[in-house]
Amino acid sequence: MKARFLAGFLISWALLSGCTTLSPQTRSLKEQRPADLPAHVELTQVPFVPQEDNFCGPSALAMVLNAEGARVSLDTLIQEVYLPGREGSLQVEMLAAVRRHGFVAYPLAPRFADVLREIAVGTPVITLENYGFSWYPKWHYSVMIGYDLDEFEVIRRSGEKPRRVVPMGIFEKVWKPGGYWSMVAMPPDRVPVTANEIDYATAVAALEQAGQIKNAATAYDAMLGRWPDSLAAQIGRGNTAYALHDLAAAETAFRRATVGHPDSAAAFNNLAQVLADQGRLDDALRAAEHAVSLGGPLLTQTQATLSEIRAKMGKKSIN
Amino acid sequence: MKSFYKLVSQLLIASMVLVPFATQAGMIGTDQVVASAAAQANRDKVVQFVSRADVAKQLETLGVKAGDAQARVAAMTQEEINTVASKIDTLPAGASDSGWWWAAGVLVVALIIWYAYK
Repeated sequence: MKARFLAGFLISWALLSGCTTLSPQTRSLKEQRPADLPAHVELTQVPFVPQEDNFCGPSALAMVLNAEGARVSLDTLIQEVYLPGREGSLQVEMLAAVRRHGFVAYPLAPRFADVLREIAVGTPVITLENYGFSWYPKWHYSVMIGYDLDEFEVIRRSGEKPRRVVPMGIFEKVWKPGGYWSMVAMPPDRVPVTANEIDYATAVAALEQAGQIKNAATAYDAMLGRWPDSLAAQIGRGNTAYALHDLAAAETAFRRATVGHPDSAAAFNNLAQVLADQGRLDDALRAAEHAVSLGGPLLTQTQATLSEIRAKMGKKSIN
Repeated sequence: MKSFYKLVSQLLIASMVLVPFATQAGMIGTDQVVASAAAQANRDKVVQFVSRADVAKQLETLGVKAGDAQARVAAMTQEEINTVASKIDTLPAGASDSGWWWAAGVLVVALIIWYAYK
């Protein structure tokens, strides 16, 4: 009888408790504390926006965006991310809404240490947690604003609580089901400390594509500060300058790309286009011919650019 | 007259076949450059393109106003559009951390103990 009770208790304990085997990242943080991280951080300057109804997504966004000086109302964000039919907000829409306010939306790598590193340099992090079960999930967004590596606790603004202190192991248990998902909203002139070049270029290209050209240009400049040789950032800088009708800046950026990446057909193609737009057709022709000679998956586009330049030259010579 | 109609319809057919494959001369987008860098690892992955209008419609079905839905999809990347389109009903939708699950948890514990103890 007693054994059965004990078994029942142990099963339920295993199901519900935050034992260390369920929090592998916390365990490794405890075993090997990252030397580069300060022990205590709390970003008290992040405003608290209490959650109403199921609006944790909009609340979390309001906190991180307003912390960086964006003046965005909760109502605006509800309109931008809340999905009535799902009674919640999707991760994709959380990212998209950040772009609409001119910030770079960047999902962090699924690493606890990375989240702490971003907080340590002053960036609050939005995390996705599951407070239900795997077979009946109850998803929730909150904002992590601090941590304590002596007590192994994280400090969060969540729901109606402006300051919720939770042991890291417990937090990891609810954070893990969503694939350790987290995101930051970066002002365009800053690059997350844990960002990698390709993923961040993807995030900035998404900002550019969302029509935030000026902010994207600033973000490409910031990228070039971190990764001076980044082809994506050089092309992006050129393309945003071109979209802003700054042909001189566009030419500079594309030239830099052709020098650093002489095998990039895109760099030569875009340089050719900028030169052609300035009426420098001989130079444009050389660049376009070189782009075509490089072949690759962009060949149909580079050939189209080349034939357009040739057509322009033909017209010119007839005139 | 008949031959005129024939000509028009032939032109229409030709334009419908050719237009989707027409290549835009000019600038190559940053997204293409990034995508080709990111795709180097999985070059053969087939990308299925879903239109933004389809996803906007799905958002409307779930209660978003038409104008809002269009603005919302406009800020998404093609990859995000693809993700949402196929899984809009099952993707995590962050909502609330309300305490009902504690009650459910306690119930589960009680049931297991009762089952083991009886």
